[in-house]
Amino acid sequence: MHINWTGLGEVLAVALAAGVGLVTLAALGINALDRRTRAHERGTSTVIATATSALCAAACVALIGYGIYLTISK
Amino acid sequence: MDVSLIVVVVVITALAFDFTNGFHDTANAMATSIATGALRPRVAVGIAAVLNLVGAFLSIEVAKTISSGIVDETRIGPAVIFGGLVGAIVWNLLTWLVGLPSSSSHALFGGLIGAVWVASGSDAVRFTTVLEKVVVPAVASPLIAGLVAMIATFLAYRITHRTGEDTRRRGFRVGQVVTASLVALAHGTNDAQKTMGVITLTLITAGSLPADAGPPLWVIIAAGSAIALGTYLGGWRIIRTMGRGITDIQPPQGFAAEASAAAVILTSSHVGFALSTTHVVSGGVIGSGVGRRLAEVRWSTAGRMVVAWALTLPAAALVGAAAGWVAGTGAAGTVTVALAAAAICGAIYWLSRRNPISAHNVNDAATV
Repeated sequence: MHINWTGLGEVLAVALAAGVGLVTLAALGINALDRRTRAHERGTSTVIATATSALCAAACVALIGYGIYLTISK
Repeated sequence: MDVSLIVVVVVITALAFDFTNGFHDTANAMATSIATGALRPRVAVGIAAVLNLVGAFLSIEVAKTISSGIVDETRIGPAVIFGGLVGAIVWNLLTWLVGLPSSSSHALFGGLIGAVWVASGSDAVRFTTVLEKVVVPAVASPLIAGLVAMIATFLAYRITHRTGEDTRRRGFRVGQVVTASLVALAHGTNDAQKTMGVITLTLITAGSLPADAGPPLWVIIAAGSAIALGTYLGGWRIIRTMGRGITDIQPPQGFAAEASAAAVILTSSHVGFALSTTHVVSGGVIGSGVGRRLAEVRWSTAGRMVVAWALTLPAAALVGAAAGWVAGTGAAGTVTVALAAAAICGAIYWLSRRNPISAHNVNDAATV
């Protein structure tokens, strides 16, 4: 019997990076959104928080877009 | 063109299997979104149905083999395929009745193994391939998805532990809907093409299509519609178990579970592993329960689910063997099996009406 350990390891590594990466990016983005709201309430600058949340959102969209590309280009 | 009775019966049965495949697997994509309230139940199954239909048309590569090499394909005749499909349908309905998510592909493999075994003997079954292609991924994939979801859930809570509850809930709900949709799309591209493959290969063996033909348009439309219709009907019994039974899912967990599941499904289909969406998502949900502090995982429900996974292949094989054997005796046998299968399905449906679960009460309790 031949178990494809390399393939399994590959799935583990890529899924770990992509899955944990996506959730981390989303969490950071949500965090930044929250900071933005609070900064807005306090009347302080919202530039950094806005930029961070936009950056995180863009990264999430890119990751998911790549996922869709993988699904339909198969 | 003379199309024999068995071919017509096989095509109808394949579409019926596709339909059960749809409602059995709605939970994979949408149970977590329904449980956290990210989507209303009817909206959730509607989105999943549309994406399954879209996925069916998107998949370019249609399954070239019925069994992925786990049985000797040269010994597969229409009676064997019919027996295999009947075994898969009956097992899918039984697990639906008790609300347990189990793999539709394993059920189909099991049914085919049983039917080939009685038709051609045990040497027509490639047990090593079964181990490599079915058993190993079935053990590995929920573990991988579980690990990824556990770490992701832990980080999601860790990073946002000072974030306002409202922003957090809303943000993760959006993420949930997107990742759940990705899982639904991937499901359509994978599972609808299996049925297309089965029907196309049956038509080829019957001589209705040339040897290297792709699926005719009506097959694509029929298979896509069957799986979408099944998905829209919603396997509410399984959705309840997946969304409420394993653990109490909050939006960050639901997002982590579906994101991990999508990552595992897409990566492994790229590497060439055939794995069950059901196993992956269940593993992801369990992992998201382990990853949140103070979350309770109902291990008894998880245990029952694992028992159902282990039984799927042999149980479907037994039904497939009986059905394939009777159907192999001729037209009378085929009709007998078809009537018996319809009667069993009717009985299971009747039993389910004693404790009906629908979009209205899917979130009410933890188990069926």
